[in-house]
Amino acid sequence: MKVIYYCFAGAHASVVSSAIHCGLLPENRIPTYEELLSIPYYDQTDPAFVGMPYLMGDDEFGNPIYFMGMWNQRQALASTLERLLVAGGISSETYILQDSFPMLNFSTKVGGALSKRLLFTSLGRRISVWGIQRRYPQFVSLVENVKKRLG
Amino acid sequence: MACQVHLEKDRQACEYIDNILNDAWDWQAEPLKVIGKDATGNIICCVVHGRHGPMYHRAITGISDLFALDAKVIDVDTIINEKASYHLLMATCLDIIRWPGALWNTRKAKFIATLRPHIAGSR
Repeated sequence: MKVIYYCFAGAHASVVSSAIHCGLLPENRIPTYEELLSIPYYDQTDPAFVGMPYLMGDDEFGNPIYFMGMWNQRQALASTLERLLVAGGISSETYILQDSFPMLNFSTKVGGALSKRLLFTSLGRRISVWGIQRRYPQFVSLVENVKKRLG
Repeated sequence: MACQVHLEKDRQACEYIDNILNDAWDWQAEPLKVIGKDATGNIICCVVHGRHGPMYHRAITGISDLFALDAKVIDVDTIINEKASYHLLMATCLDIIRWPGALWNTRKAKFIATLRPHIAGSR
């Protein structure tokens, strides 16, 4: 089964969620600044490629884990993709589309905007990581729920 | 209209636009609509993406690749834009569809003539 996490820009929430799912980040403690920055694609996805699914890796059961950004079209685009897959004869039991944007708090949004839009990369990353660390248990819960759905 | 041209149901194009104008299709919540199936079995869909066209294009092609679906996205806006002052033409057409059919048919023919070569290549 394929798992696709999505958020606004595909640079923070969906990257962290997919990294936890793949085991690249710990589930039993809050990762350090360095650990979060070492995840592939963290705060690095190009806004020009928002919408493109990226492969983060495989989970312990071999399920491929992806992430993508959808700007402010999360609901509409997710609906579009689900309808596309139905039209293509793909069963909804073969994939999970999971919105991880609600996990983000204000500081991560501000940090992301500083880093990606205003090009204050260093400051923006520090703020976004701080925000993610504060919400990290919720990220872990989200991933645990997705894993339960995988069975 | 492009979907109807693809399905060779040109006469129904007018009705579809009228349905959209009457909010029969909630395209903001569900931008993708399956219109029908062509003679070779391809499923023809219409997607309304507003100003996020490139993102929708990347998402649809990306997800199709993941699931090994043979999907082709045709950007109708660009095709028509390349030909003429699209916005003026579209505005005129949307007005004219409520007028007698004879007037509409003259505009419809221009749209269809523009779209047909691009759609023929996708069959």
